[in-house]
Amino acid sequence: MTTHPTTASSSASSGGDCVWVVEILNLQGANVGQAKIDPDWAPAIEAANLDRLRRFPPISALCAYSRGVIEPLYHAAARAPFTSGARVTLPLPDGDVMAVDLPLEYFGDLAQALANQLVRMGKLSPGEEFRYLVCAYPRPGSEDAQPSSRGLSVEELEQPLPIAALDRRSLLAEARTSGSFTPGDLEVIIPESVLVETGVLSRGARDVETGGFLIGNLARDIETGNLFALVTAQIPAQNTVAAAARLTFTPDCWTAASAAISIRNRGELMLGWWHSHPVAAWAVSDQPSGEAVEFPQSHGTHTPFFSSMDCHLHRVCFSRAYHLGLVVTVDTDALNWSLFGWRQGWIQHRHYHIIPDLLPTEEEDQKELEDARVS
Amino acid sequence: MQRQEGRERSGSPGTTASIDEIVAQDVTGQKSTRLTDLPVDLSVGDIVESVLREMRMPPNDSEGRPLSYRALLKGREERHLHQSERAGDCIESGDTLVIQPSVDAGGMR
Repeated sequence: MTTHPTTASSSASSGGDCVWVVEILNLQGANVGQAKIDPDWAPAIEAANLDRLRRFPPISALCAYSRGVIEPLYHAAARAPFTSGARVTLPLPDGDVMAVDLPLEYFGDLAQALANQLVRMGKLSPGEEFRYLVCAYPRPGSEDAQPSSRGLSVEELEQPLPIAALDRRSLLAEARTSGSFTPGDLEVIIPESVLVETGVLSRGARDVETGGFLIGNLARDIETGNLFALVTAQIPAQNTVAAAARLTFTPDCWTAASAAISIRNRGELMLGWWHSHPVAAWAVSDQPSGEAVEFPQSHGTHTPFFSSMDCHLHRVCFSRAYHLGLVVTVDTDALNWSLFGWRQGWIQHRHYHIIPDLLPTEEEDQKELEDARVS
Repeated sequence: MQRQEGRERSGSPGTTASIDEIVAQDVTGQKSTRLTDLPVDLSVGDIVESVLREMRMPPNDSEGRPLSYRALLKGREERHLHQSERAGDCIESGDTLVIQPSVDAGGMR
């Protein structure tokens, strides 16, 4: 993802002002199919929103979706209508705007869905490699202006975010890392106790999935001003419905989580969620439907993954670009923790720092003391 | 029973009463929308639908089936509103709704 401040272009058209088309080519370059697509632009806007927050420190609020403008990035050599991605533009407080460029891979899932359709139609062979092109055709008018229900006026609000000032260097003094760092990713710090708790709960759930929420703070490093996410605790999800390969987060579950955060009263945000994959149990049992569960294996260990349902839950409930999803893989003799999060509008496996337990601050000590006196 | 939170629009006798302003949030509390001039006979289901559209929240699950969302009336009564309830019967100006999905995570790829 490349970002740069720019000036508003009078010819900029929003994603909603274009007809976007994906074309599938075989490796010989022949067009085997094409279809109009309707990209989900919300993750693109969110990616730009986080970038805006990171690059312009005085800003501590997220823009409403409607303030973002999407336009095609036309391919420099092939030219319009062929694109090399999309550009998201968001306003800055001084009246200027900033732009974030998203690569062609942003359309990868839609291209794959069309390819699957072409396989079913016999136009591509199963497993056949393909390439894809994305074209954008300007059209007059905007489909973003949707009529509201019977005179009701609905407007997304700019969202202020509490951002703490913390010393990243001292937090990471005894840290170790999991995964390899991808440049551009927001740094994430998780205390070991959070991982241990999720592991104990996951093992305790035996052959069904379990889960919960990751809470904490967004913070700016007092030394560099860089933004990072600090997970401070996990909250086990109450009122879920659990099965071997399914975990339903019900409305009551969200209510309970929100109440737990309020009771803690530490100004924490819901930063994400976690859930378990009891792969050891999957390996010895079939689904209730009788259909064997498919999971990847690599060198005798289970490779962590976010399923399509996991991705969908993340998109529905955790769509901010800093939101996280932790997967606890429960194998027969080992636990494995993998963190997923948004990168350029896609959900990707990502790096994080593990730190020893956080010590309560003086304020928190004082509060606990006062609470104890009251009770 | 209709409470008195609705107001008649001035200068338009006999027109539908409306609720001035409420806020709707997502489950994280990190996305909010302001809804103004809610007709009192609007259903909670209609309100949820409008909020989902404005917040770009997916209306369907990963297999294309409609996703179930409920509206929690925060603070004052702290209860889930029924989709068919009329806004005028359950919502007051200044209320906050939390739009909560029932959504699945799953182990299979």
